[in-house]
Amino acid sequence: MRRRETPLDPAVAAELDALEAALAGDPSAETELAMLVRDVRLEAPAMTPAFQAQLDERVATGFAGASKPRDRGGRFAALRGRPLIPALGIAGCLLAALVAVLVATGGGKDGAASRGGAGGGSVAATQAAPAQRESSGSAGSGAAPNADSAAPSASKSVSPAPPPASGGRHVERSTQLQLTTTDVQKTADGVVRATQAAGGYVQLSQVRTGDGNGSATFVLRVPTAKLDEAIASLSKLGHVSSMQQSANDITGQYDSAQSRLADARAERRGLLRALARATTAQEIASLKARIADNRAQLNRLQSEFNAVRRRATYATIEADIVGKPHKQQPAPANSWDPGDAAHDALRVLEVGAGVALVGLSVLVPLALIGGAAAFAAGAWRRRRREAALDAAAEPI
Amino acid sequence: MNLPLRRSSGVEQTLTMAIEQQPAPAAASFEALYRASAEAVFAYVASLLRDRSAAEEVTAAAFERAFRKRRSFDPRRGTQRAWLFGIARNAALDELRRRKRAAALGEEPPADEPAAESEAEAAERRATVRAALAGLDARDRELIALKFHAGLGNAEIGAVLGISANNAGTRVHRALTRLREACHAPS
Repeated sequence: MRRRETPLDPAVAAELDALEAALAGDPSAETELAMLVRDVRLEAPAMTPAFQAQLDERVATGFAGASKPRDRGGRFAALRGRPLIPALGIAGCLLAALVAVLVATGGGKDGAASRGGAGGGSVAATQAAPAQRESSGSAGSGAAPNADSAAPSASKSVSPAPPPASGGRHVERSTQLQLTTTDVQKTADGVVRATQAAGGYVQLSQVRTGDGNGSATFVLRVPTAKLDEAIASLSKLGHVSSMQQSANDITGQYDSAQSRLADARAERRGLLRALARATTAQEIASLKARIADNRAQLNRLQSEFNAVRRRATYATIEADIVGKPHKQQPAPANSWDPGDAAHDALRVLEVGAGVALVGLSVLVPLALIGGAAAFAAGAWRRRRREAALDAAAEPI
Repeated sequence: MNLPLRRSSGVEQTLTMAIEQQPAPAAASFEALYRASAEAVFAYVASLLRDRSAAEEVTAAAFERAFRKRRSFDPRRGTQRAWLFGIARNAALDELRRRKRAAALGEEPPADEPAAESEAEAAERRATVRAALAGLDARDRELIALKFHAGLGNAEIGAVLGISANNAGTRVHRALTRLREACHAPS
């Protein structure tokens, strides 16, 4: 900020102008002043010829033989006025570079080692039976693949999948699905969840987990109307290596069982009516025996009809899960792939930013203190110089 | 782009100069500054120190320092002469600070004996001026040297001393007044 100039007193300015005229050798200058200028100039200390010659030579050679002066000039001369700025920049860069190198050399090995250990563990072979009991209790769950009462027994037609039953037809649908996965246990859990979500149940399950090559077998029953939805869910659990779907029209069986059941019921009603009309003890005893036979027949026919109806309303899914070992083997401890590099680079940036922040929190106050100290030192040096002049100001 | 090679024609003589013989602009500029200011710098430093031998050392040191720092000169902050006298002033004050005293000016070359009566009068006047200068304090001597020996303008003196041009003018006027008073004072 420029200081405000106080104007010169006109008288002082006039005398200064007169002095300038005398100094310039102006003939119109004041005579006494001109003589004073001449006399003072004649009193000017002059260099001796020897010293002048020596100085001329030194200047001509660019002060080549001189010892280095206290002030180092040259390329850093421009920086000396602001010594803290480049110093702070260099210090910060060096610090950040040091931390980056340390992190880069240490981070890669750590990252590789941690990833190498992740896939090396072995899973003990276990048998699990995540089976859901059928609501009727007829289907059991266990480790052994026991007899399947609902297994598809009729002729199977290969895909494409048959359309669902419509128009009063009753179709028994079944699907065989083979999934390949790297995590059998996880996939098995997913199978159970998908089945339950579709409103079905697990009729049979056998799960064997091992060291990368486990397997599982499921027999699932899902409502026929939800079959496609269930298959879609199951297909997402692993790689579908094979799938077969079949449909068997059981309308005849359904109608036959229904008809026989209706006949048996009609017979029962007739027997009951006859019993009501019977008058003799022998006749009554005979009718009761027939009614008992009819009851047994009715129960059997009811069971048969229920079975046929269940085959039509619940589809069967046989799901085989085959475990396969991880393709990606555990990385050796000293390997370093692009993923590691990206991870390390990100880490370096994080650490670098943190170090820069910490460094700034230290360096900025230091810079402020240093700046204040430099300013104070400059002022102190100026005062000492002026004091030296004052000490020499005594006239002699 | 490939241009066809052509032989020079009509060239009668070639002027050649070794590259190292060409003065660098900065060095040439500094040498010109030295030629124009050496006497004035010495006179100024000697006026401050009042010691011829010390003045020679300080003058040489000032020019050497200026040579080393010649790239740091900023024309926006003043003239080259003001910059040079600022360096000389700092060197002289550092010397004063080291010595803590103002030594008497060394043997001045003896004044020529007046050959004629008119010259005797001039010599007497010079002796009066010399005595008056010796009686001034260092700050006034400095201002007289900067004004009379170096021929600096008020703005340049202000740049050397770190004050404004008007302030420098006022101080120069005071120093001049004291000098004139000392010259007219009865011995």
